[in-house]
Amino acid sequence: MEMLKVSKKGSYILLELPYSGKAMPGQFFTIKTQAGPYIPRPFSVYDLKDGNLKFLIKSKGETEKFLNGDLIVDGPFGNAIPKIDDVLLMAGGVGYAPIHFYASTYDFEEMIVGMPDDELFDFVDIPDHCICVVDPTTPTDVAKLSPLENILACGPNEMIKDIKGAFPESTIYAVMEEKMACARGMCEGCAVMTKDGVKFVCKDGPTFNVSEVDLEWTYR
Amino acid sequence: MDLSIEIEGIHFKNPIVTASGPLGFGDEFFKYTSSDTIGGFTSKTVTPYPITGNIPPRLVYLQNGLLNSIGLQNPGVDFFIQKIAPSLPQTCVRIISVGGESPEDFANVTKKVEKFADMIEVNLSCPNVGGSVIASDSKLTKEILSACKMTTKKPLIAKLSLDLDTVWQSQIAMESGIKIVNIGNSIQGARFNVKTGKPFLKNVRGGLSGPAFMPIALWKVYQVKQAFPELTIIGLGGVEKAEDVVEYIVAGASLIEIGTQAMIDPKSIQKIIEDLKKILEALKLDIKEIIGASHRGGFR
Ligand SMILES: Cc1cc2nc3c(=O)[nH]c(=O)nc-3n(C[C@H](O)[C@H](O)[C@H](O)COP(=O)(O)OP(=O)(O)OC[C@H]3O[C@@H](n4cnc5c(N)ncnc54)[C@H](O)[C@@H]3O)c2cc1C
Ligand SMILES: Cc1cc2nc3c(=O)[nH]c(=O)nc-3n(C[C@H](O)[C@H](O)[C@H](O)COP(=O)(O)O)c2cc1C
Ligand code: FES
Repeated sequence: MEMLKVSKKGSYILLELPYSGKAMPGQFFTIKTQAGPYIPRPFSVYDLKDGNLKFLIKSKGETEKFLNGDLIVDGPFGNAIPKIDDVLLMAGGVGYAPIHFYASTYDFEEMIVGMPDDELFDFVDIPDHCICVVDPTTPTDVAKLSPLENILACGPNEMIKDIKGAFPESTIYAVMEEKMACARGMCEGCAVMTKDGVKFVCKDGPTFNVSEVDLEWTYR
Repeated sequence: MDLSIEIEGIHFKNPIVTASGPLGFGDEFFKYTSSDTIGGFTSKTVTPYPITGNIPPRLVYLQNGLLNSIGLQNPGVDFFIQKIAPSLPQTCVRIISVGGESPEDFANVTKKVEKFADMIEVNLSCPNVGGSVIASDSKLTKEILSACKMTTKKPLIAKLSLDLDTVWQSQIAMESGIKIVNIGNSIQGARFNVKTGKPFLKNVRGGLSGPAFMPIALWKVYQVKQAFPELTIIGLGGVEKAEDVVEYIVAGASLIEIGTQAMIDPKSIQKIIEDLKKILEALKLDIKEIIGASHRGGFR
């Protein structure tokens, strides 16, 4: 059976379910119930260990209302994050979910996690040697002190734009989000503009090399 | 009971056809539902040249539906006929949706795609491109439909806008020699962000699909059937289950298209067809016998 754990002030939910299949960091599942939401919502895998699949979900949206029902969980969808050498991991808010799964699967050099407040820090497990910042300090502010040139980031659109602007010389991979409807590359809903034209987060992503993405078009 | 139906000389093994757009060109969809099970498949709308589509966000979630602002993204007709059309499924009716701006555009696309199609659907009603939908201009609509008619002998479907009077649009289609209308395309709608005061979509409006849309489409199907009993109607909008299909048929539709439901749960289409069969068995009636039944006092 599924288990729900809610953070102190109710802003975040950890959803845990039994799952016998496989999934890789960066991949996501869609969640809905018979009663709703009408369009299944995509969620990145936060963790998959010992047959337990975990998601970190921001509450107060429509999905939350249904999480106590019989969940219809479909996936995994999307491609795995490539294994990146000497990587600096950067996460913002619930964008921490795929970063957490990456960090528990592969080696990494440094991690910087930015969150709006302590509520999320106290709620998720974060490796000892990582740096945590709270608004108004951003992960980008801290990353300027790091010598690492390979970055894997997931967070709000503004954060991804910030990182691209601040580190023009680095190789930056971002796990991107767009509203999805089919999660299978059929509906053309989750578009991002790349140097090779429009690509879809669900089918071609969700991880993109940021130097190939036109963030101005995508996040205008 | 018999689920099959013949429309303009084309045999459908059942009345369930996928709608243009939500399933793209079908490559993913057919991993979940075989073309052996469905009556027909409609391609994404194909235009004379590639279209990039609208800037994101392209979707707005609704409680009982979806707003989309895709903007007719497609690779253009030349790429379509070279790379996609030859592998469209052969075991259901292939409907290719054609789009453009002028009669020449539509004729050009129709000419190039017709050999890959069993039927051609003329998209007069995309809610997401340009200023106003083609269907709002009766002169242009007639010119487009006539141009397509002169280009192909394959049966043509006029896809109508639900934002406009569908009886009026059907009249125009019939005057252009069209015998099948699709009722219809997604309705224009908008949602606004109460935190920023801005619309969610960059083009403000998108196309509404899903169950929220169904009562409107059902009423329009009923109206058109009442006005033009001889016209063949494809009912489209919000179908989630077999009962919804029956509602469209009794309102007057001969074929039923399914879009959003097939997109969010591609496996569910097979169940809809199986359930439809069970409903007809319980009624002891064939599909053909219940088309427009509501106009005749219901089932007898
Ligand atoms: C690949 C991918 C991975 C993802 N992974 C995660 C993840 O790990 N964790 C996670 O939490 N999310 C994730 N998301 C996002 C997730 O899919 C949902 O979109 C998100 O959680 C919000 O969905 P919801 O249904 O809960 O909220 P919605 O109902 O869509 O609402 C979202 C927010 O908008 C507000 N809102 C609603 N209506 C209005 C209005 N009219 N005006 C202003 N505000 C309004 C709500 O109050 C809420 O705060 C991911 C998305 C993608 C594409
Ligand atoms: C994502 C999406 C893309 C669509 N693209 C097209 C299109 O290219 N051409 C077209 O005629 N209709 C298009 N439509 C409209 C559908 O064919 C259909 O008319 C509408 O979605 C209502 O049916 P439904 O509620 O079953 O989805 C699109 C709809 C959606 C949701
Ligand atoms: S969600 Fe449909 S193409 Fe990505």
